Amino acid sequence: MGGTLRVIILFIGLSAVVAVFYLLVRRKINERNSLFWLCGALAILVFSTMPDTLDIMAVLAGVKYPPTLLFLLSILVIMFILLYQSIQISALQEKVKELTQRLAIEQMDRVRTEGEGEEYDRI
Amino acid sequence: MRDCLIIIPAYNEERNIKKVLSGLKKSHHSLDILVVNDGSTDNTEAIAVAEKARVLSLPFNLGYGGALQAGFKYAVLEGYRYVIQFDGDGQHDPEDVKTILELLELGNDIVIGSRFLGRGSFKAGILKKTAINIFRLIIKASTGVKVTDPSSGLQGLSRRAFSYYSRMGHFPHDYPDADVLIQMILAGFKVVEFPAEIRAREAGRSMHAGLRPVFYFIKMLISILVVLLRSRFKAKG
Repeated sequence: MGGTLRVIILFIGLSAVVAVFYLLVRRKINERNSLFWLCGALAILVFSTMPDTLDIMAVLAGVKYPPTLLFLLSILVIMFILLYQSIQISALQEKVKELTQRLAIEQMDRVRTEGEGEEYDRI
Repeated sequence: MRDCLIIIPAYNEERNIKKVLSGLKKSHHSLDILVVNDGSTDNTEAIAVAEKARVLSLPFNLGYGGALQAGFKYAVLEGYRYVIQFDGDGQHDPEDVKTILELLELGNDIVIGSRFLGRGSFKAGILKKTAINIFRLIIKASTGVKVTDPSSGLQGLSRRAFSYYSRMGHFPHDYPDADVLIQMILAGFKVVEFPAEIRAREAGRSMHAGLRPVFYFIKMLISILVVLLRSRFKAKG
């Protein structure tokens, strides 16, 4: 890996760490969700400062062309993050639905007990 | 304990809801009616209020299943014995409510008004027919119960059934179909069908239009598979 490229990748890794911490400080992301991204940023830093790590890992895994191992690992991490987020979105959807229904029922009850609405017909 | 609540989920049904409500009022004086206004952007709510129905208004559109489930929650809190879900688009015949009540009184948990048992003028396209036939087969094979119209919106439910549906995570967002029925039959709920009179929509657009059916069919197959897997795991431990 050339010197310029290493500097660029190092810069990207550092920016990622700074970005995640910035988001944490501004409360735009919570600590739990920031962990994945910090790990990702850390991985970039490791590979840029110690490029040999990738080559060693590739040899150990029997991969002939080391960058493909990097791609494989990156895609796996991204897929994991996406799956995790889908799980969270599903849970949130269920909770929002539950809250919406309860809120609507409470509101209806309040209108009735405050006497704003007249007694409903039994039809 | 109060007797029976008719739940009408309504999303932008200003052109149909008045007729539906007056039709129900005409033939059923002693039943309570709840219109669940599912975030309509038209005058559905105002018309239902003017017709003196109870109206449960959701702050935004939750979808058919979400609206129905809100109605079930209400029915649980208010202590109803039965609920009848009735469409707000004028497809269902108020006269069928009587039959549903009789069948619920006999101890059935889920009473389905079927479009395919002789009465009614409902015509389905070839694709829809094939899809329904596949779902029928799956229901029969997995539960041994014959259900001809698993997606019917005209259903009566016992308190045991709608209490179960009312709990968080126990009812789908969109359309309850063969998946929900299989789950209920396997859990020991008694399901029965009767021939219902289902008319064509009077106004507005059906909710099963466009390219969605294909996506819906695949989603339903997966959903059924999940229900079967879930019951298998439960049985084992």
